[in-house]
Amino acid sequence: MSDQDLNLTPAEQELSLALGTLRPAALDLPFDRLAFEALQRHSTRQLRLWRATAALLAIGLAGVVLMSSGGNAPAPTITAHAPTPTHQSIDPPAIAFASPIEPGRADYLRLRSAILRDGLDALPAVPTASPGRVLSVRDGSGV
Amino acid sequence: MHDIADLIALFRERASTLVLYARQWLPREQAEDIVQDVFAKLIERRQRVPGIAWLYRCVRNAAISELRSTRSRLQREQRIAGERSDWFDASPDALIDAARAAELIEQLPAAQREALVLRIWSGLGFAEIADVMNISTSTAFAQCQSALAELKKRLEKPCPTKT
Repeated sequence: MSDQDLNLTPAEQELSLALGTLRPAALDLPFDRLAFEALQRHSTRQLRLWRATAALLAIGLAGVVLMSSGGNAPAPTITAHAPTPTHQSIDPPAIAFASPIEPGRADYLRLRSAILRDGLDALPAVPTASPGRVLSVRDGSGV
Repeated sequence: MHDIADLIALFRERASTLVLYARQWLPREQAEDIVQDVFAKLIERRQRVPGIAWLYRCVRNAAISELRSTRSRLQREQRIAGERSDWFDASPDALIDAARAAELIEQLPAAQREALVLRIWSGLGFAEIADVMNISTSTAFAQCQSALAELKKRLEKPCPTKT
């Protein structure tokens, strides 16, 4: 329903016009001062907002810097361990074959093999004892 | 309306009728404070005013909120009743006596009085009045019509003379 459809009677319109000649009590509100103060509050609020935003950004930036400086340590390596076999190995220890034969022991082994193969004849001739050399056994007392 | 200067101009133009409207709930000083507060908030927030009816609704809400926040409501209403004689400025051009009109308007039911003030002194259409008062347009029209009929009836009565 629009205003055009709602018509007051002539008598009501006449009274409306008569009432309309009355002026509401005049005011002297300082609108310019009010506007100035409101704009000042607006500016202050904007300033606070910007300061808060800047502070948050600074904190965030500091956090990023701290996190990136802590990242100089070497990155942890991920090693994969092969699963340990559950069955026991029956292979002989490799150390028996890996250790090199000492030169003196090689002579002994060679002599031993020769004795086993040829008997006592394989023993080398015993050198005659030299008169100037006396074998002595030192006891625990040092004598 | 985005410009601050336009907003100031709007309030300069509408201030007296906005205060008159707010005075239905509040005494003059508080009504003026309410209008100033609404104005200051609009400026501070750089609020766009979508229409005149919206502005009146802002003042209405603020005035009713202020009224509710006061404990001594009865005292306030009594004070308002005592102040209503200065709703209007006495003017030689006025076709009705200002004090008499204020007295008669004061006696109207609240909804009729509100609709009448919005219609006569704020110049709102019935659809805008309905928007402000949150009622239907036909109800707004009916309220205005009833208010005018009641005023006419009372104005035709001779003033009681003191003997």
